[in-house]
Parts: sequence; C-alpha cells; structure tokens
Amino acid sequence: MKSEIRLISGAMVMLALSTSALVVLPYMQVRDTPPLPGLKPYSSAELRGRAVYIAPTIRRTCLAPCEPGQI
Amino acid sequence: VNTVAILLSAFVLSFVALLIFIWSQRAGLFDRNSKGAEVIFAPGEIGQTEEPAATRSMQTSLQGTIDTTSTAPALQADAGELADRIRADASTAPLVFFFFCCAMVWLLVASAAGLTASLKLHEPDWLAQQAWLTFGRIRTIHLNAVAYGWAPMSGLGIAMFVIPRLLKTPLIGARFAFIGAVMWNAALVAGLGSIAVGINDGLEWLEIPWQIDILLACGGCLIGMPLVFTLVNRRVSHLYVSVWYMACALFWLPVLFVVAKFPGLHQGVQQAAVNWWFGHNVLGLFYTPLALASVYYFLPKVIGRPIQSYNLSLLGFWGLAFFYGQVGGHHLIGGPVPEWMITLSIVQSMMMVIPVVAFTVNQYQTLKGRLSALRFSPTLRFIGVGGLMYTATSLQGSLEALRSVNAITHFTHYTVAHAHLGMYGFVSFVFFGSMYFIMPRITSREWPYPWMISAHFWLASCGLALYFSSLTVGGWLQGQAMLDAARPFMESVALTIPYLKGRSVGGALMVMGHLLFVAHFLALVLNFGPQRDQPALLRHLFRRQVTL
Repeated sequence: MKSEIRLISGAMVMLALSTSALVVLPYMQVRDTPPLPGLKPYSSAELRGRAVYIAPTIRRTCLAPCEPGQI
Repeated sequence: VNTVAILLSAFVLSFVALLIFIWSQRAGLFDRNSKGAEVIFAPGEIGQTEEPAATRSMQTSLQGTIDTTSTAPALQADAGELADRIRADASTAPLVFFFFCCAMVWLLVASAAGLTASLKLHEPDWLAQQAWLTFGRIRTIHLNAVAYGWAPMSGLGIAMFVIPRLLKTPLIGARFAFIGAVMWNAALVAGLGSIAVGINDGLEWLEIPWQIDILLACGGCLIGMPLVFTLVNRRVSHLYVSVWYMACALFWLPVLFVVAKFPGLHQGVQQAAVNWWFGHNVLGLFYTPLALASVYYFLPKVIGRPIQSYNLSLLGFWGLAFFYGQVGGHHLIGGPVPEWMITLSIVQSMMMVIPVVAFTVNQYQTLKGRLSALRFSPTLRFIGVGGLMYTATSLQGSLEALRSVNAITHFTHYTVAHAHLGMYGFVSFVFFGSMYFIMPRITSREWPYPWMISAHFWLASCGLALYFSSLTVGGWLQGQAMLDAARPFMESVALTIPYLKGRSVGGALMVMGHLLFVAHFLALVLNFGPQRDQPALLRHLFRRQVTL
C-alpha cells in the first residue's frame, strides 16, 4: 500500500458502515416507537427514579442509605 | 422498516465494500515475493537479529539460532539506513520516554485499584469506610486507569517510536505530542478524581464526565499530529502493515470518542447500542490495532526475517477494519434493541475468525523453525505469548457472541476473564515486550537485571493463567446456577467465592510482576545496577553520530 489517503479513506468508510449499522439505523428505527396501548402511567416514585436514571450526569455522593425521595 | 431487508442490505453492502477495498489496495496482492514486508530491514539486514533487551551473550545465542536455520549468509547492513534509523530513534527518544513514564504511573494506579476491587469481592467489609474505596468506584477507576492511562500511554509511545523508523524520517512536531500528553494526563487525573467522588456519565467505558473529556479529546488530537506530519513527510513510498494499523487507530479513536461522548445526542435504547458500539470498538479499533502493529514490527525485527505472507496481513487488516466495527451489539443479546442489530453483530463476531486466523497463520509461518529464538529474546517471549493470546481471546470472543453460550456466560465472571485475556494477555503483554525492546534504544542503556525481566514474565504469565482459569470455571458455574430456577440466587453468588479468591491470588502475582517491571524501569533510568561496557547494539554507531 502506497497511499495514505486511500488507507485512511478506506478505514473511515469501514467505520462509517459500523456507525450506520450500530448507531444510525437503531436510532431511526426506535426513535418513533410509541408505547404499547394499555400501559398504566408511572407512579410518582417511579417518575422520580426515572428522572435519576435518565439524568445526563449521575451525582450520588450520600454515604448513608438514602431515604426515599432524598435523591 | 423491514428488518430482513435492513439486515440483508447492510450485509451485502458491507461485503461488497470490503471486496472493493481489498481490490483497490490490490497492488501486488498476488505477488508472491512480498517486497513490502522487507521495508523494515535496511538493505542487507535480513538475517540479522535485533534484540536490545537481551544481554550480549543472549544476543549471540539469538543470532546463532538464526544462522543455523537460514540458508543465505547475513550480509553487512547498509550503514546509511542504519544511521537514518538511529536518527529516527533519537528524534523520538524524549517523547517516547515521557509516554512510558506516564504509562508506568498508570500501570501502578490501575494495578492497585484492580487488586483492591478483586479483594473486595470476597472481603466485602474491607476498606468500606470511604466512599471512593467502595467496589463500584474503585473498579471503575481500575477500568479507566487501564483504558485511558496504561494502554494508550504505552501504545501511543510505541507508535511514536515505530512510525519514524518505518517511514525512515525523524519525528516531526514532537512538541505537539508533549503538550497533548500533558493535557491527556491532566484530564485523566481529573476524570478519575470525579469518578472517585461519585460524579460520572453513567455509561461503562465512558464514565469520565464529558466536560473533562473535551480536554482529553484535545490532548488526543495533539498527540496524533506529529504522526500525521511524519506520515506526510515520509521518505519511503511503501507503507508497512504496522503503519496501516497505527495510522487507522489514530483516526478511528477520535471519531468513536466524539460520537459516543457528544452530550445529549443519545437516549434510551439507542444509547445502549452506542455504548457498546464504542466499548467494543475502542478495543477492536484502538488497542488491538496498536498491539497488532507492534507484533508486525517487533516479531520479524527480532528474528531478522520478514513477515512470510504480506497478502495475508492485508486480508487481516481489512477484515479487522470491517468485521470488528460491527460486533458491539453482541453485548446486548436479550436486551430491548432491534433484533436484526444483534444478529448482525453475532454474524460479524463469527466472521472475525477470518482476520484472526490470517494473523495467526502469518505469525506462525514467520516464526516457524526459529522458535528457539524465544529462549534468548525477552521481547519475543512477551510478544509471542501476546500474539497467541490474541488468537485465543478472539476465538473465545466469537464463541461468546453465540446466543447459546452468551445465555450462560454473560453477566458472570466468565466475561471478566475473557476481558483480561484480551487486555492483559494480548495487549499488555505485547506492550511489555515492545517496551523492553524500546527502552535500551532510547536511553542507550542496557536493562541492568535480566532476571527481573524473566521474573516479570513468569509472574505475569502465571498470574494471568490462575486469574483466567479461576474466573472462567467460576463464571461458568455461576451462569449455570443463575439459569437454574430451582436454585436460589444467593447460591450462584456463594459458589463463586473460592474462584474469586483464586482470582485475587492471580491478580496479586500480576501486580508483583508490575512492581518488578517498574522497579527495573527506574533502575535503568537512574543508572542503578551493574554497568556493562556495550549496552545496546549499534551503540558505536550512535556514538559516532553524536561526535559528528
């Protein structure tokens, strides 16, 4: 192999294929999935837990076992 | 969207792309005399061994094993090319030394954190008073210190040393890499600190908060710059196989990292897919290519014989680039992700057998008839075992991706054993061997205590063997116990305890090996120990160079 341009562009195409298979296509497929009919709404405790779970950064610095609702 | 259509089209499209790429790189594909493999040698140098980590008598014995098996007598190597190589080594020496010093520190941090985490699994009350010493944090610190500390610092240091040699050009723009490495290490200190106080991004392999990762990414880009400058200013027309792996690893990592870490971009199920797309690709498209590049350079260099089949290495490279990128989904078998994605990942995991076998056959053919060289070359011993472990861990990984095996092994200690076979048995062993080769070259000093190299090798090997066998057996039994609805869950936990103790003993042996390695490194740097008259091979040339 003599051309670094060909090497790198080939490598990037390979990565693009992997990204489309594992990142882009799943995104397109699942982003609009509606919830199944008949689901019960979350309770307030579940909603608080969900808020913690989907928070962009996890901050849990309490040492003692947390009381419900303390997080 | 029709899932069968997606699966089929992705498969056909990617397979055609793979064929087109191999075809586009075909120059000399069916050429039997593989001139390309000889570019790592100066004219007339084939048949001459190079092993700076061995003592003088071992070097003579090493050369002896080659001379008895080779048919053509070794010629006198071209002095001009050797002088070029010495200039290339000299241009990288301070930078590579800095990278290796950082790698040593992170190796110690990672070892201490890993052993602590291991002990906690069977001594849960030990060191439980401080939040940062609890299992969840100390294990994460271990992973990040290996993933962003030891492995990249040693791997990139080796790349900095090898690339100028392969391109026959002194390293250009080393100061960018210096600044980059300082930024990278500062970011890693901040990242590990934030994990220790309990602030993290909540995704495995991506725990360091994204704000700190901006610094890490900038540092990484600066580290890559001299390699790009050197590539552009190279004096050889042919790019050796190690350059493909190293250059591509340097271009893949930033894309992986930025896409995976981009704040707010990924959510829900798709975030899990991205998590393992990154987690597996950082192994397959960063550490693995850096380690394979080292094997492709040092193994033929030590025994003085070019890689036997250059075309197999081409197949191995593009096969890895293509198949490895798509295997991440096998971590999510049974999860609420699109079924076609999982199937695609399992298929590509099995296809990984192709590049792995290509690599293994190639290395075996190159070493064939010269296995006795392993006795005299510390570098070769580490790299040889590392190459073998690559084959073992890759084939094991392909099997683990199968649904039937995955149902038992996933979520057990079996996976941890597999991860260490890859990151330690393969990647770290290859890096150890390469560092034993490089340090005498960049410091112009010999390793003072050869017994310490042997002790390191045997401690690391026995430690890994014990670690791997304990966790593999324990993990399998754990998986079977968890699947058996008749047995209570706690039984699956209790039965692992003897195996976890075995793992801690194995881990302790590995840590002892690392302590010897770091002590030996310090002894070499600080000039302790016996001084031999003729440290590294070719030193006379270096002296002449300095006096000119």
